Amino acid sequence: MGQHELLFGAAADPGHIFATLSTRYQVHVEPTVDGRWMCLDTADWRLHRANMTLRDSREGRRAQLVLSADGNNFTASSSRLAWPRRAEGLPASAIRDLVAPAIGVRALLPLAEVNVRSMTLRILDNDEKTRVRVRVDQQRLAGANNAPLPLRVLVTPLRGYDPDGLRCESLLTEAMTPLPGETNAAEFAMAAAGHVPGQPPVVPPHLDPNRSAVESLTDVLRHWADVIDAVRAGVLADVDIEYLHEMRTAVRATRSMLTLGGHLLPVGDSSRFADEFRWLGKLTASVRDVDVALLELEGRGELDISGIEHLEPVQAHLATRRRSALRTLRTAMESPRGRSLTGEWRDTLGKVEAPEVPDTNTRETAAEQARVAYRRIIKAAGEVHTDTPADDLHRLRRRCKRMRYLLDGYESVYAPVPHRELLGALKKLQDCLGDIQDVDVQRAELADLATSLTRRGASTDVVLAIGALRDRSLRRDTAARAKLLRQLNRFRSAETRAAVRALGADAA
Amino acid sequence: MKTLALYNIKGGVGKTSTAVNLAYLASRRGHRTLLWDLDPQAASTYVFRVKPRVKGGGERVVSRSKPIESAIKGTDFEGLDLLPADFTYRHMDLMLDDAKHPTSQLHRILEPLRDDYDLIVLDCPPSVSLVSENVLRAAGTVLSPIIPTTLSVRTLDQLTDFIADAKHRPNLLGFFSMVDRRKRLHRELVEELPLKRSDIATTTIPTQSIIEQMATHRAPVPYFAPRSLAAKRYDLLLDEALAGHPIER
Repeated sequence: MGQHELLFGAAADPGHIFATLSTRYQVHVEPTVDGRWMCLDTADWRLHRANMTLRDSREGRRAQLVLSADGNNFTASSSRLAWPRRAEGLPASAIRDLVAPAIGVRALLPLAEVNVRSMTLRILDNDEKTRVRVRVDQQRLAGANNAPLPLRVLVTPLRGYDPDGLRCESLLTEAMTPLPGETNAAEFAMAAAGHVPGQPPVVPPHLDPNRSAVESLTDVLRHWADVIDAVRAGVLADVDIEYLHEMRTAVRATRSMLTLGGHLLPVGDSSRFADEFRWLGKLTASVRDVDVALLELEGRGELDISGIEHLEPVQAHLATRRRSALRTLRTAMESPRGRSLTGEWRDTLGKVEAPEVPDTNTRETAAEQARVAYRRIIKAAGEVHTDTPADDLHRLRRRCKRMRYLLDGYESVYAPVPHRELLGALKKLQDCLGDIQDVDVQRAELADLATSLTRRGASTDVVLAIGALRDRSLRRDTAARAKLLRQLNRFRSAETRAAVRALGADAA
Repeated sequence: MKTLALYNIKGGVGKTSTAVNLAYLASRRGHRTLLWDLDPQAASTYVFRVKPRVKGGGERVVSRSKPIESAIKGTDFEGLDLLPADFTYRHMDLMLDDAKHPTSQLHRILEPLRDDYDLIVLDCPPSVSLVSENVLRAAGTVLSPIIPTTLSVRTLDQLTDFIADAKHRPNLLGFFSMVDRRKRLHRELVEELPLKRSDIATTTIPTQSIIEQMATHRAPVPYFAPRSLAAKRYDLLLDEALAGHPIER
C-alpha cells in the first residue's frame, strides 16, 4: 500500500489516534519533534500542472526535498538550500531530473510554510517488531496568519507488512471522520496561505458585456497594472526571467489597449501614460533580448545548437551584458518615476467616470475593436510574400499582438466558439512571425557579438561558432517563412472572417 | 549495487554479528541496504525480530518461482530491509542443484534488486558447498572473519584457494574477529598475519560481551551501544569493506 495520508479536522485530538490504535496493537510513542515544511512551486504552478507536489521538509538536522509524482515519492537532501531556486540549483537527484523539464526556466518559490509538531507511533507485534509507523502531524501555517491546518496522519507500513497498514487505516477511519480525500495537506496549506493552485496570482476580470465600454476598459487596464505590480518584486530580485517577460506582456498590453481604446479615456491622460509605458517597455527590452539569446545558447530555445562548440565565451559576454542591462532597469524601476507609475495610473483610472447613458456597451465595443484590428492585419498582410523584409513583417506582428491583447482582455465578453477559433488562427500566425522576428534580432545580435568579441581578442574558434549559429538561424528563418503564407491564408479564410463577425454575438 | 558477503567455512566466528552491524551502519550512512539471512539458523532474522519464514517457502525464492521482492521485510531501521531466513534453507544445496544455472542462481535472484538497493549484505551459513559457490559468484567482496587461532587462519587459506579456483573471483578481505588482547596467540597473529598477507583488514573486532548482547537487545550494537568500542570498530570495518569499491546509486 505504501504510505497513505489521512487528514482530520484541525480540532482532532492526536491522543485519539493513539487510543484507537492501542485497541488492537501495542503502540510505542516516539518523542515529539518540531519541524516545518514548505510547499514549493513556480509562480505559474508548473509543478501543479504536471501533477507533482514538492516540499522542503526540515526536522532537526534533517532537511529533505520530497517530491510526489505519479503516486511515487522521491527524496533528496535539501540542506543549505534557500528559496527561490531554479532547477539547475537543485542537488543532482531523481527530483531534479523530474522537476527540471516541468518547470523549465522558472524558479521554485516557497508558496506556503507550515510549522509542524510531529509524533511518531510505532505499531508493534508480539516480538516488539515495528510493523507500521504512524506519524501524526499537528500543523499550523507559519507567519502572521498562523491558521491551524488539518491534523495529518501518515500511515506507513514497513515493507512486507501491508495488511497491518490497511488495518491501522481502517481502525482510524472507523473511529474518526477523515476529511474528504481529494484535497491533500499541501493544498490545504496553500489555501490557508491564500493561494488557489493553478490560478494565476492576478486573475483577469470577468467583464459584464452590457456594462459601458469605458468601465470595462478601465477594468482591463487595471488588471494589467495589477500584473505589473505583482511581478515587480520578482523582476527586481531577478527570481527568474519569466517575471520580466510577464511585465513586458502587461506593459505591451496596456500600450496596445491605449492605442485601440484610448479614445474612451480623457485625452491628456491617455497620451501621457502611453509615453510612460513606452518608457518602461523600452527599459525592459535590453534584458529580455539577452535572456532570449542566452536561452538559445543553453539549447532551451528554437535554435538547434547541437555540435556547435566554443560558445562559453559568448555566454559569458552575454551574461556580463545582462548584468549591466539589469542594473539600468533596476535603477529606473526604483526611481521616483518608476515607483509611482502604476500608482498614478491606477489613480487616473479611478477618476474615469462612466457616462450617464452609455453610448456603446462592452460587447459591441470589443467586437468592433476586434473587427478593426482584424482589418488592419489583413491590410498589412496584403503585400506579404516569402521575401518580405523582416521590418515589414515586424509591423504585421505588432498588429497581430494588438489583436491578441484585445482577445485576451475581452475574452469574457466575446462569444466563446468564434473567440476560440480566431485565437487559434492568430496564435499560429503569431508563432511564425515570432520566429522570423527572433531570427532577425538574432542575426543582428550575432553580428554585434562577433564584432564585440573580436575586438576583445576572442579566438577564431569563437568567431566561427558565432558564424555557425548565424547559419542555423537562417535555416530557421526559411522554415518559418514557408509556414507563414500557409498561416496567413488560414487567417484570411472565410471561416476566420466569419469568426470575427460572430465575436459580438450574445453567448447566452 | 554492491554485494558484500560475510563468509567463512568455519562456524561461530562472528559472521552474523558482523553482517547485522555492517548492514545497519550502511543504512545509517544513507545507503539503501538489504541483508539476506541465508543461514537456516536465522540468527540475523532473530536480531531484527522478523519471523524466520518466507511465505510460500524459501525454495520458491531460490527457484525464482516467487519474486524475491515479495519476501522482503522492512526492519525497524530506516533504509534497512531483511530477506528473512527460512528453515528450508538447510536444503539450499539441493534447491540450487535443481536450478538451470546451479552456481549462479543467487546472482540471478538478486538481479531484479539492482535498482532498489545500494548494498546487499549476505549472511552466509558455514560450509563449503554449492551455496558457497553461489555466494562467490554473487558477491563483489567477501568479508571473512577469522578468530586469531591457527586453525581459523587455515580456513582463510582454504577460502583463498577456493576463490582462486572460481570462475568469478570476488575481492577477499579477511578480518580478525573475537580478538582477545589478553591472549598472546591472538596478539601475535593479529600482528604477524597482515605482514604475510595483503588481504587482511587493519580493523579488528574485539571479543566483547556487548556483541553477545545483540541477541538480548535484538538490535545492532551501534543502535543500543553507539559509543562502545565494538560499534566504532564495525564502523571502521565498513570503511575498509567499501574502500576502493564505493557504493554508487
